[in-house]
Amino acid sequence: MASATSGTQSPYRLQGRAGALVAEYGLLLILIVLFVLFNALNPRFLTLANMTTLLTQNSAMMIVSVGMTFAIISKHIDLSPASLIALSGTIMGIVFAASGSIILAIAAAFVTAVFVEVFNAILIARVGINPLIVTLASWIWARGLAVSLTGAESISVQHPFIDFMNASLFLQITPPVVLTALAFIAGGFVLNRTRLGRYTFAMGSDERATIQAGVPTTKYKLLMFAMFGLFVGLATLITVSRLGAAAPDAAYGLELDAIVAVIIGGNPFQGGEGKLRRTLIGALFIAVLNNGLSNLGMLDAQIATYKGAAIILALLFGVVSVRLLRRKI
Amino acid sequence: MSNKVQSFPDNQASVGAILSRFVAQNSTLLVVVLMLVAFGLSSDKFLLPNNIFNIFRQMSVVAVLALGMTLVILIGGIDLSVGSVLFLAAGITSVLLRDGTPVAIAILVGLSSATVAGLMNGLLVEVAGISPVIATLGTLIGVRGLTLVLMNNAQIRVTDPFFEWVAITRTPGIAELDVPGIPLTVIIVLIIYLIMAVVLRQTLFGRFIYAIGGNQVTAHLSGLPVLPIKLLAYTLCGLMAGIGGMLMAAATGVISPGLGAGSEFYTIAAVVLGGTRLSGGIGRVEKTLLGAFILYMVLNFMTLRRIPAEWQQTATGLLVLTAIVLDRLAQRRRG
Amino acid sequence: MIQPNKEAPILEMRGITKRFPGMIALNGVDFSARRGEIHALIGQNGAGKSTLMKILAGVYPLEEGELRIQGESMRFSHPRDALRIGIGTVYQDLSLVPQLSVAHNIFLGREAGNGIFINQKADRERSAQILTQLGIQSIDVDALVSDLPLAQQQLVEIAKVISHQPKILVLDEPTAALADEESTLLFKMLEGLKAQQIAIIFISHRFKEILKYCDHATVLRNGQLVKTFAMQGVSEDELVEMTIGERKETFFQQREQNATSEEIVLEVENLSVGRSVKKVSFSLKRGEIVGITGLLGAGQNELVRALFGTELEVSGLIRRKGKAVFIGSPKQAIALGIGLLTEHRKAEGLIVDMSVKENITLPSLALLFRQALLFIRNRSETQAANDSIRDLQIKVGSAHAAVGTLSGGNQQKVILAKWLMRDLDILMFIAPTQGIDVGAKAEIYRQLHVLAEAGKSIMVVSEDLIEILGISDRIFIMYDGQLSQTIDRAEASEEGLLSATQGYAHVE
Repeated sequence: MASATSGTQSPYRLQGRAGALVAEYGLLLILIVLFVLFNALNPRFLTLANMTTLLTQNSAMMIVSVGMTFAIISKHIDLSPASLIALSGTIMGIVFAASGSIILAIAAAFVTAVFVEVFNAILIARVGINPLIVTLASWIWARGLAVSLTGAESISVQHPFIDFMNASLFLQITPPVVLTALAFIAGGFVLNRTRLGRYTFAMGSDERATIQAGVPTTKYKLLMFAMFGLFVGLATLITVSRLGAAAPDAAYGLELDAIVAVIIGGNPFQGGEGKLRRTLIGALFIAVLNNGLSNLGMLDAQIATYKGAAIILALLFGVVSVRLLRRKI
Repeated sequence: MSNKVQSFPDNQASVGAILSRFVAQNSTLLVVVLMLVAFGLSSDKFLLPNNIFNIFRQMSVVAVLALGMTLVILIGGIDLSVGSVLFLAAGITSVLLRDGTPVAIAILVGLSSATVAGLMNGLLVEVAGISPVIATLGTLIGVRGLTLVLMNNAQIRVTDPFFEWVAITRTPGIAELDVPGIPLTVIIVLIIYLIMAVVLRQTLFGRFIYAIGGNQVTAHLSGLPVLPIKLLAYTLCGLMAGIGGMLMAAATGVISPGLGAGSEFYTIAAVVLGGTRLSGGIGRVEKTLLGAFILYMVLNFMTLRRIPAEWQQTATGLLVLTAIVLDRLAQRRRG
Repeated sequence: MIQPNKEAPILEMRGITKRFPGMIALNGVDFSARRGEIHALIGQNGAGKSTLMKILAGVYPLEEGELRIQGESMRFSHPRDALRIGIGTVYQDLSLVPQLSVAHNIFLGREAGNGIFINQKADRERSAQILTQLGIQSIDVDALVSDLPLAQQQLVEIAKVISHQPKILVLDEPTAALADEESTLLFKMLEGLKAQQIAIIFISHRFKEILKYCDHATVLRNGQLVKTFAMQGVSEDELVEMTIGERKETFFQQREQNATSEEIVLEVENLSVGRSVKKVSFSLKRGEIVGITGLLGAGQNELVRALFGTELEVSGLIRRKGKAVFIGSPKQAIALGIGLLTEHRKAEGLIVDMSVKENITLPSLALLFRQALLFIRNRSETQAANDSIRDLQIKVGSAHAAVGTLSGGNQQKVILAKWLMRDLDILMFIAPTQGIDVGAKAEIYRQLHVLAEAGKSIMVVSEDLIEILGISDRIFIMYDGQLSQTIDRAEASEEGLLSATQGYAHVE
């Protein structure tokens, strides 16, 4: 006897079961194929050393993609992370050069990132401006500020902590890889177990009904962007460590990779629903492309072409499988 | 969803009402005039004809890109790949020229490739159903890469005499008044704008664009050919990016890997400053031109006052933001 | 089982009056409800039922009259106040978030847990409990609301409202979109709530279910109270009689009966649309006006939309002037000479930011005002628009004014002008005079006559029986997706129409 908790299958699900499986795990299969392919072309691809390098190189992007998942689920696109990384990194470098304290410098980086994200959030939630424009503007001015403050030069940051960030801990796993894993775990936790996560879904799915239910949406939008700022701060820390310096041209194009990671992983751009495991697969996809193609000795140009083609194919594949999912009786 | 286009009540004849109606409908133009006055007072070099024409020349490429972008935004979409498509056109043309192709064919192929790229964007968005931001993001990455492959990742000089002629030619100036000639590139841009303004105001295509952007459902229920028009908008945007590429090739003389990168954002800024709504249906290309002018006036002024180039970028971003915020707050007051 | 309930009513509304600019929606209405009863609120459209309930729910402010809950006088400034006092309302447009699960929806904003974390398990258990209490067996609390059929979504909405533990539950037309089995389930649930001493107010047009399940009923007419009575022993005829009344408006001129020719312009054979329309067949003659009416959800809207090419899952045969045709899009419909004015004026009929002129000429641009293949002939366009404005007496300063500034009636005239300019043979209307002032209504009816005399064929879908009676030559009754009756105007009466729409056999 069906009860309220075990229930009957909704008729819509039944039909789209096959499509659902394809949509959720199709990209994973493609990813596995990519692994095999790259390894065939270059046997050193599937080594532990290369895998950890792959993850370390792309850790900043992957961490940002966690925050970007929240943004996209709630229907707010954020173009600012890369420029923010540059800006926060610059502030971090300046504070470090001035004070010599790495702790102060790291704190400054986080404060900057969170501050700018919340500033954007206020413009979006309170003044009601389109997120695309607000974050587009900060894409322009944040990097401009970074360049201005450093005079277009990098600021060297040398400290045992930085060295630690670049060292390998065990099994050649570096702190950035650990941080990435932590970011995904923490993100998943927030998304599925906290009010912030729940309301992120609610706002992205139907903001009017959410407001009607009495949820203070402005407050939660600010919280969400503040949290994104924390992820950006983390990504800044990693980026500065890997470069050993605060560079105003750091992370160029990272926000695009992050957005693409979220989307080709299978999260719909329209928002309202999403899973972090999809972002993880999408981010790995991008990371594998970045690493695998460059390992083959390709020039940036060719990498970009193949990457672009792969992205478009993955998108089309996603569209087709969504159509399969939507098939109703 | 404000519809305050021409909707002030006819019976309010007070000076205040007339004034506020005038300001609302011509805000962009007023901002331009205000800036001209303010900057002119602040720097004695600003209002010199030579300087003003300089601004025109510098804004040419973004102006052309913004024209195509306006079309796409009018029908409710967006195209983030214009910088890469510009690069595509310039790159292909430069490669052909280097290999000895006649200049007319080289230009034609370059423009065609840009047009096809635009069409592809349209198909991805309207037929495949991918959201415009994502689809054009993919094109942005892929097209630039493809072009670099075609150019073998090297930079190519454009030394064709036709391009040099385009870059240098000006109308005859008035030497006595210290008025230099108007650069040919500027004239080309003005002509394109003129054509497009007429098209949007006076042709079926133009009317359909505004109808679809204003309310796609109604347009569909009125029997309009929605899909072809939207595809055409994206295709024209590609063509404009191609033209921008040609202008760029003439202006810089060398096609390097980073050409046009990042220009999509300045392009969108110009369109938004010109008062076009991102949601579609409202906007005019003439005002986009003003928007581009505002953008480059500010950049020019900052250069005259010797503000370092790095700060200029910051200022630009903050300027765009301020303009939007003010406009939104004003909308609230009016609405 | 109806027990006479001797205790005082939990809800008492006295002398409720509500004015809107230009009309009085409610005039000194008294209404009360008791615990543990299902009280039906009946009346034609515009009788004031929704307005009365919106005052109760705190959506409209209480301006004139008194509202007492359990003897205490109340005045709400916000819907949330009413909810807190214990008045729960379930509206027709649901307030659920599509991509959240059932459990998450029921407790949205009130999740178990502390300020940061949500206790998922507690929420799931609470929701399951509520569903069980309501006797709902078939819904999985983890199912996404968007995956559920409408009937189940409605049950979730009710569960959501019930979770606030209201003392009074208002349901606005809950069965309008439900099939019979689904309605039965709903009523079973309501019986359960009745036993919990909740006062249930049930707004509905459907006499059959009212007679079957409700204990008391209140009939409103034109904003006034007609009668409040116990349902025991009441017959359908009495209900019909009470609901109808003489209307003050008598602006229907007698139509020349012989204007209709015998030529058939449209034939429909076994037309089905999804689950809404089931094998409908009819033919339409030149110069006739056909009125189509029925209960909400009976399929009349979908029928007409299918003839305009906007519906999916359409099967059956359509013949236009004897030739079989396929209408797959509005463009094709227009090419066949068929036009549709929908009930959503701004969303589907107009482009609000464009001028009156541009709206009127939109479907006709390519056909009539083309010059040199691409351009618009401005002067003839403006001239034609001005002609339309004059012919239909559209009140606007100039043809260039934005259409969004016009009143509802004038906006409707603009849409009419739009289709008239296209010179179509068949014009279909859904709710043509909804929310329009009396003067504009008369104008539109006059235009319909003019069009019919000129040889156009017109189909009007409307809930307003007086309107249907006043303008139609023939009347189609839609019931449960089928064309249940065809009535000639000479034989039609308001009572007869009302009975017919309720599914009763045609009463002379």
